[in-house]
Amino acid sequence: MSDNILEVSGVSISLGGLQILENVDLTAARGDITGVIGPNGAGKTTLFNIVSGFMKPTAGSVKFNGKELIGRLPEQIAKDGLVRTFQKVRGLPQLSVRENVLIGALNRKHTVRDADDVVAPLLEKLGLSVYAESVAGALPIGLRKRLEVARVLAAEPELVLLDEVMGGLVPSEVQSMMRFIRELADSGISVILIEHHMKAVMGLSSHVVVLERGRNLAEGSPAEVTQDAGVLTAYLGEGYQHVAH
Amino acid sequence: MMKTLKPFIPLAVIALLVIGYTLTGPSRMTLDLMNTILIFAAFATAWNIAGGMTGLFSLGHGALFAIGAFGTTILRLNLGVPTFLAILISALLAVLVALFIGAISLRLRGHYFGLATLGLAVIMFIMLQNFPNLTGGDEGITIPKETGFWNLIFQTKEEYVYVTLGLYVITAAIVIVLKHSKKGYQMLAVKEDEVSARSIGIPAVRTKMFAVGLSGFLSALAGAVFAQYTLYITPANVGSVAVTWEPALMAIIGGMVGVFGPLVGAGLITLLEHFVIEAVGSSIPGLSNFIYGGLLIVSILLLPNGVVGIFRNAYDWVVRKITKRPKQPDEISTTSVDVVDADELAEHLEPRSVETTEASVQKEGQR
Repeated sequence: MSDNILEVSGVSISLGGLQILENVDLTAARGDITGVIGPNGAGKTTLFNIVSGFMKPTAGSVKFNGKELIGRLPEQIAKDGLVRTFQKVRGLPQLSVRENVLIGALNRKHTVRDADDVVAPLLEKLGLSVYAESVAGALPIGLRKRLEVARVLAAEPELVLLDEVMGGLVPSEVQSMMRFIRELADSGISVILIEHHMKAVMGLSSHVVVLERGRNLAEGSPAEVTQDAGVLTAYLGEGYQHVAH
Repeated sequence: MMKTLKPFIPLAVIALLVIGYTLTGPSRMTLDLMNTILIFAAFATAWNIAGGMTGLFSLGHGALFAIGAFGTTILRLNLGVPTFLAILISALLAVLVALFIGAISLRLRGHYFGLATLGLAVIMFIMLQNFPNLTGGDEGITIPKETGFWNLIFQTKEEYVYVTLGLYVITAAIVIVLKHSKKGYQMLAVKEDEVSARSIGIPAVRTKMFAVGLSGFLSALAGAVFAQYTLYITPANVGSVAVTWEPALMAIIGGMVGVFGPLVGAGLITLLEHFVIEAVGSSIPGLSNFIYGGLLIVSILLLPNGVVGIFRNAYDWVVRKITKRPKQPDEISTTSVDVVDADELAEHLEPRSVETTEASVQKEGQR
């Protein structure tokens, strides 16, 4: 088995005549945190939708642990060990926090009793124990993002795709979410992040892939990427120095 | 062991109350109401597996009820199939029909699913009317009163209570088991958000088909018992539009959340119908439907969890007063801005070492 847990190559998709992704590549090393950045509309979420099985590309391949994922259903992909969160928190809003996590745990556990054992420690770890019986939809956004992560982790994935889990978090929450994501990677779970929160994505990722208008723009270490002229132009336009100061 | 039995205690209490009351020798009319309530409670509970637990708001269950009633009767009277086998066969037939309709309409959501399944009920009604050789057409079938356990036909309404109660207890027990099982949670997840459910490994289509199939099976059982109880079935009394929306109405008014909402709803609707007819007779045709409509609107607007929901809220309130436990902290607001901060971005894009980034986040956190 290669040391890449995910290999996306040559993925293209067009929706309603609009080319959303064109020949996009993305590799994620096992055990690493890989960042995906790019301006709004670059196709980051679409890429996640393809990898997680919710959209079918017109061309290209997605290999997870060396196994082709294109053509597999989202629920099968989750069973394989690749689980995602959603940018716009979906969750199960009318169920309790505990039930949300329990349902995640059922991805691997065959009985409710076994799944139940997973729930309490996970809630504890994410500081959600107090809210166990609260209705998920009533939580403020920061906690809902945490719940989203808890639910996904309960599913015991090998690779998680986190779609903007920092969005809407206050700085202290960002800090604890960062610490948490790092712990995740340390525990052996590979992570791919889509993130607009630059400090977070740059601080966490060992490898960053930049998309722009559906194409690969640049990739490399965070330091390399932040100095790439193309990336600067994509984000800030020509003459970005004036914007910066 | 106690923990697994606990959810069944209310059901056992209900069963004992029904049996106890029956032993006191109530009037024939009361017994008739009890039997009717229990049959429809079972039907509404079966409906709730699809409609309440999985979010598949079906208006086609009248067809499944009719398959149970007419299927059992035709198999028994025309082909001489033993009663219990006839019930089983017609229930399995209902499963097939439910799965077929499910397969072609599960892509539809909400109202559209409701309308598509209503179509099934209407088609079934018209078919029942138009095969008079089998179904007796509009006049329906009068079932000969050949009493005996193996026919599931009895002389007195007291004896029937045990049959209708058995039907309800079996249906409710299955729902209780389901509610606490992996399948039950998967159904709940599919109801809440299908995309979210699939993303954590729940096979949405298979889960919905399971719900529809089981719901169909149990609805047909209720239909079969209805036939054995009333001994007179017509397209109008088992397969009409009035029948098809009855379980939905009962479950909504009683409450779609718990296990006993459909029972409460069946009780209220059956009694209401009875008293409306008693009060005004048939002088104002359609009055009960008019009242149902009003009730439905009121309960959807004011009682999202049905009548059972009122009791549940009252119970929570009392418990809170006694234990002085504060309300669950479920509304804490934090301000959130979900945009890319241009300043932050610009600052970050300045070439500098990556190691400083986490430190700067911490600084920001303390600010």
